Amino acid sequence: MQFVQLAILNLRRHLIRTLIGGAGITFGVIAMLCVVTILQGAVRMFERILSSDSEMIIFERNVSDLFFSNVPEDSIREINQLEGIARVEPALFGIVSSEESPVVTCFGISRQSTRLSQATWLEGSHQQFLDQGDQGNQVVLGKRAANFMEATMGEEVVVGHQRFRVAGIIETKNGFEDGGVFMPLAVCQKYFHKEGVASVATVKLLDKSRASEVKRIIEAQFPNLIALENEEFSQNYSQFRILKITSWLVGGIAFLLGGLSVANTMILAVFGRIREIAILRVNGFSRQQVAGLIFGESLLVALMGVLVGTFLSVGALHLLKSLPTLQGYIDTRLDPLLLLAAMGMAFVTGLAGALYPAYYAMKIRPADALRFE
Amino acid sequence: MLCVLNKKMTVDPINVSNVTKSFDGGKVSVLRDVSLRVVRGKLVSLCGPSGCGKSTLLQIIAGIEGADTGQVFVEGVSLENEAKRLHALRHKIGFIFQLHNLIADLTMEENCLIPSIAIGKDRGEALDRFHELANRIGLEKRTRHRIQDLSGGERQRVAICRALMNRPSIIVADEPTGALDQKTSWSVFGLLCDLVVSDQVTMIMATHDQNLAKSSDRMLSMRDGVIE
Repeated sequence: MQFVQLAILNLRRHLIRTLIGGAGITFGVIAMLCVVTILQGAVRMFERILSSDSEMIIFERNVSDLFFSNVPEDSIREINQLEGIARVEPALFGIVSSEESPVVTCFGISRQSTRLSQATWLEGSHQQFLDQGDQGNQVVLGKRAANFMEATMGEEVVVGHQRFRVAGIIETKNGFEDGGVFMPLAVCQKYFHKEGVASVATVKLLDKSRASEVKRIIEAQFPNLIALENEEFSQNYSQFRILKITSWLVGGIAFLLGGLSVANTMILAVFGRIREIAILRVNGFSRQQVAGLIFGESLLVALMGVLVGTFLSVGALHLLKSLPTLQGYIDTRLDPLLLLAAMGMAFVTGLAGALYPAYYAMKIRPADALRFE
Repeated sequence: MLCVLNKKMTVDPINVSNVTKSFDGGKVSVLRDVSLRVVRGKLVSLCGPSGCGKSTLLQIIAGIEGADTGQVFVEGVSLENEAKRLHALRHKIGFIFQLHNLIADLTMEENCLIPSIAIGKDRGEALDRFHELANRIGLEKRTRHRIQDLSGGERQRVAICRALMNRPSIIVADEPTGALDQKTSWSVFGLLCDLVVSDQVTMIMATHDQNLAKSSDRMLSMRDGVIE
């Protein structure tokens, strides 16, 4: 216990140096927690958009981005007739820009889609929308899209190069959907020149346990298509993989910088305390105890960085979430595993940063240090 | 038990046998075939000009430095390797430097607790010992003061206090009064003599002060790495 007290005392005596070292770890923790949480949240939102009350997703084989995937409507109709399938819903994705927002995601879906039936209708109702029938230029706006387009029900809005009438405004649990424009599939196909195709088809099964069997049947009958269960899709979809790897890389690089900061702090701490270390040695400290003291101080700096970094990350994520422009786009749920990973990396960084300083401190010859320092 | 005690009493606390030491790859010879025995409970002074090897000899006796050849026995145990030297330094020997070698921005208490931290002593027990020593050296009211706020004489008293924390049987002092004025020197020397008598410790002390040396039980002279 006294040993830990001595380490704390040493850190307090060199407060500025300690704070600089801790700041390195703090920034590493913040970068990792924020970047990974935001990107994981984005991936979760995409997953929810794609899965939408279904167990399986079908898209064109060998395409790297779902925006370029073409699933023929004929195939979707045939798949809908297969045994074990409750429902197949097509979805066509497109992106346009508007005066108010550089990116507006358009969802081409059937009028009966669960995306609409399960949403909260803020203006209009799903039944009303169904009753109106196909009028060619109707869209339903997500809540955020309606806000930035300053549109209300019945008004006309400009989406890209075309004008549409607002047939309803909905709120979903998904930020991307809330910022999107929902068009009847045929309208969307015409708008994006993709007649007769959808980007993906989501599949609701009668019996979830038969998923692999259904998947085999679909892939056998439609060799140009690939069917993946939702979890399988999340793990294999290249865009998600790129996002996840990027987020961990950014976090890792931030930690590397944090580690350099700790190493620098601890090197300064040792080089500036050569005489002091010699005094410890002539008062009975072994080489291992001196190294332990350096590692202990470094771990305490890392602990401080983790605590402050976690606290600031939670604050930063909530701040970002509350910003009007980002509302709904940021999922601030902090994954406990991510927190553990950040803590682990902070401590590994702290230990790695103390390796050379501890080695140097162990090699100090007390007699020489006291004679010449 | 009595047998062990008797054996301990008959062993010389310090026994240096044919020790040599050189630096700079053998170019600078500092100690040449030095042999020395110190009897228990005595205060031995080591005199000689600067650079004659006094400090190096004391550091070898304390286990801070290793000898090139020859043997050093502390309480009958040969300081032949680092582990044994460390054990002696922790449990048998208290070292006092000329320039006290205290950590300036720590308090007197924090400095004095360092040897007890090294041996993992219970904090309560260590504090009891510290306060007992602080009383004996007359600094009981200065325990929370930083070293930088103490006078030269007080600092040297703190160094003595730290050296005695782990109840050593031997005190090795390298010119403990070298940086003090005459009055303070005698005061510190008097304190050391009291400790030798009251705690039955053995002390070897390097000094330039002939008057102090003459007041010790035995006086040795060194010149060019040899005890004359």
